[in-house]
Amino acid sequence: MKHLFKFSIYSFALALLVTSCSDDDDFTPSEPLGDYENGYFILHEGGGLITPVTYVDEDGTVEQNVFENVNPTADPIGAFKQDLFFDDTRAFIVSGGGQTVTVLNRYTFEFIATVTTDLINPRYGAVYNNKAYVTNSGDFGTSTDDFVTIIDLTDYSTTTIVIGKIAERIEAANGKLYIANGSFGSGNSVTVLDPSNLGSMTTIDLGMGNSPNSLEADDGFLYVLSGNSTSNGKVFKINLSDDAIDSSIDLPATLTSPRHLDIDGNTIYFTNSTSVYSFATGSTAVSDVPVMTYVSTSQFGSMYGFSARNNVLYIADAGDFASAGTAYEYDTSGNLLNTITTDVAPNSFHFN
Amino acid sequence: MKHIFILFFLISPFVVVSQTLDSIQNLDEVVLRADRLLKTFSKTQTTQVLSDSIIKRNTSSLTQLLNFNSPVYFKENGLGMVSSPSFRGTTAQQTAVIWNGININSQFNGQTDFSTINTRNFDEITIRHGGGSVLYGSGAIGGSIHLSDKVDFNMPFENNLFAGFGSFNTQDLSYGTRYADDKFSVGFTVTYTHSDNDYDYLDSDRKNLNGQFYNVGLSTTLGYKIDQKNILRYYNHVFDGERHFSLILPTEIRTKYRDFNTRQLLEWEGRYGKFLSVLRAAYLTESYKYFGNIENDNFTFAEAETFIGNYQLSYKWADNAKAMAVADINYTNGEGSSIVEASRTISAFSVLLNQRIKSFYYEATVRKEVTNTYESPLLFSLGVKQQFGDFYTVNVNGSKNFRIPTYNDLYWANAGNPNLSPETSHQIELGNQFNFKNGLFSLTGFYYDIENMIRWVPNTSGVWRPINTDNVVSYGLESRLQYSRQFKGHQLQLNANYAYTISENQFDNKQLIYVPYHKGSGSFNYAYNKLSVYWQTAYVGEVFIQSDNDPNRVVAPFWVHNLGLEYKPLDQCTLGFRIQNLFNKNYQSVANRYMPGINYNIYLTFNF
Repeated sequence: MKHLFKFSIYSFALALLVTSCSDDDDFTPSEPLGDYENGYFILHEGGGLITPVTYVDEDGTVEQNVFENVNPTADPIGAFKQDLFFDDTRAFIVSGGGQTVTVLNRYTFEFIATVTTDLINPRYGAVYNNKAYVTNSGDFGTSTDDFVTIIDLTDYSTTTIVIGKIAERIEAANGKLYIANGSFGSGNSVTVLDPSNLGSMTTIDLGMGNSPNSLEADDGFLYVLSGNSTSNGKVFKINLSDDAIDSSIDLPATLTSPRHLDIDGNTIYFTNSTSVYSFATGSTAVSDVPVMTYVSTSQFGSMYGFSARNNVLYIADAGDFASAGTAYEYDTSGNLLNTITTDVAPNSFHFN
Repeated sequence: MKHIFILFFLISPFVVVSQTLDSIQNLDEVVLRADRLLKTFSKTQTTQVLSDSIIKRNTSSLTQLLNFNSPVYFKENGLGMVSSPSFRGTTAQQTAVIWNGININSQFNGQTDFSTINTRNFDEITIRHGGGSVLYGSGAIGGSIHLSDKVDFNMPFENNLFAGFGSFNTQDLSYGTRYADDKFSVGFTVTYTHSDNDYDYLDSDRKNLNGQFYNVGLSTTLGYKIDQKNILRYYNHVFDGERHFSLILPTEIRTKYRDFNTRQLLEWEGRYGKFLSVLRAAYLTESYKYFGNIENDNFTFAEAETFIGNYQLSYKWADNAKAMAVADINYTNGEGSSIVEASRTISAFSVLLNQRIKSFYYEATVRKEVTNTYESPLLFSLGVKQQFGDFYTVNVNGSKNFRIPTYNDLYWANAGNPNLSPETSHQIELGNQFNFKNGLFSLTGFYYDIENMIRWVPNTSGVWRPINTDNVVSYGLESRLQYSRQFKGHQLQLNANYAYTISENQFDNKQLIYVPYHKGSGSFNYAYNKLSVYWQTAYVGEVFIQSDNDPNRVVAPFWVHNLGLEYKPLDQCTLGFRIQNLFNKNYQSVANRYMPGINYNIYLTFNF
């Protein structure tokens, strides 16, 4: 909690309900799944009981307070919404302050359940084989107690397994779970968890000082971005068949705080400060010329969240963490496509 | 072990001296305070003394006392929880708490949590408005709150007992005793406050969870007149408290916090003709333990000890004129779970001057600190006061004050910034006081320009670190009305405070969050014969909770009232009954932190 601002926020704000008026859907090939099936959610990490997401529809219309509008009688979700992840039909919101995982219908946003057991300072989640795996910091003073909560998605019962290293971002790939053991520059490995054999946990060492902060699997490989306070940042390419490091690429030394690795098609994107960089999945070198740079008035909340999808770059700017945030959509040439006002501290994008 | 030692040290002299009780000598009472500067160099600023009778009519929390009796605003995380003041639009770290003349703001976070001060431990509480860094050091920018003990001579043996019981299983107990002859003086007070604090939220089926707290306080004073010119005085205060932190949602992790603080001060005062010499030595300890999950025994902690040596020499250079030189050395050593042991030494030198020339008065002070930890600015103040007959007094005071970087700011592991500068404030105020037959009215305008505000912000790697960044301008008006009247056995008293404050970040000219434009308080007392009835009220205007001043993100204004009734069956004894939040108003001080609805207290005071 010490790393986060302490400002609490009113739970129910003015509803900026914008009704969508699309009367041009001449052919509907399948039964609609819900009002939110064709857009994306921006998650709010702010303190207090602020609304969890801002919704942006495919036609650009924005809806605030989706959760409250759909579920007027549900209890508010706790502070510090850290992560949102999906399975085929459900969305899961991790609240670090509320110590909960809230389960919703991902297309209608209707409330389904709240998981409150076996969670101590939960962080990120991923789904594999009808189970959700949620990393937990446990006691902030130590990383040896960091653990994963395993939620059975049929009845939302929980069990835990201790990771024993920093447990942050988590990715499901090739029948396993990959957990980045990196936080604020500490930790330099990836833990591999095999759901069919939880006892056989293995570790991929990234080398001294290479602290992983984001990861994504693509086409048989896991790509892990690491920062290093005394050396170059790196992108590791890990072969999912044997969990060995296939290769690694040094990032330009001028990029001192690379973050937010995200893969779109065959392009790997990442950010540094207010700039976005990219390279092709097969390439062996990374240019220090950015794809684009955006202008932020934020002293310290710039590029708080980032995603690349279908050649659109999504950037979240958290401002001063104590006021409304902003999200931007840019094309890959750096042209601004859309600007969205969000609630406090937007930290990530989640696409339906 | 350390606790036991300190307790023993505290109690043993009391036990010895209390056996030397002898006949009561009815000589002139000599009352002296360790906090001399509050009387001698605060005349061009507003001070407001809260007497024993006011203190008794409030709960033992300093937050509650000041909320109903001063223009100071409190950001309170629910009843009894962490409570930070904002005085004239400044931050909690810019309000100094002074115990018998010594600044006791925490070395770690630079502020005093007003929920950790039990008011019943002190004889007198004074609110001093405006800057005072020359006199009181770091943090005396918005104003300062002074906790003072008396060391009297020639006093009868006196005991007083206070026992209060209230809703939510709240106990508020204190016992004090004092005795003084013409050579020795001894006083001792013990306080105990406990509350389950599990009040129901209004308009909700929820209640305040994990909000329980208790604290124990001990204070001791000793005085010894060596001869007609030399007096030794000793002051001691020990506070031991534990609070659980209440939850916003029932699923949150339950946490708690323990405080253990000790303060000791020994002073030797000598009066030699026109000279007054005061040598003081103080030893302070503070420690906290934070249990981030009460399900296990893990905690984080920090502890610090501070030694202070202080010498004041004042010289009466003319009638109604005084010059003073002060040398001060302050050594602190502290460490914690996230702070590697660090020590710092700060030396300070001050020169102070005042003079009254008929109806005109001035005071001028200057202070320079020397330390290797940061660059310390020259601090000063200049004040003048002019009286126009009995009716009207005007005063002007301008000063430069500061708030030094704390241990957390400087030494927090992997985050502390050793290159921080102190926050500085240039400020000026103009006060008008109108005295009329049965009361007074005062109106003070103030203007502050505060630079280099220290703020924790994330760097490019996402690590939060403190930097000197913000510039805030704060200005406004404070007004106060006092009225009292007696006729045919009826007594009436009326007190009211109101402050209007604009406090803007110069980056975007937005009002600071959790600084209300309006704060008011008032009390009314009517007594006849053995009965008295009193009413207390506090009004807090709307506060923004987002720095963009989004009008939809506010804590709504609230106006709450208490009503009390007292009956004195005997001169020595008072029975009281108080209804708090009389109109059962559902209000919050901090967003999502609900305060209790109507609740009740009964109390008994007994002097013997």
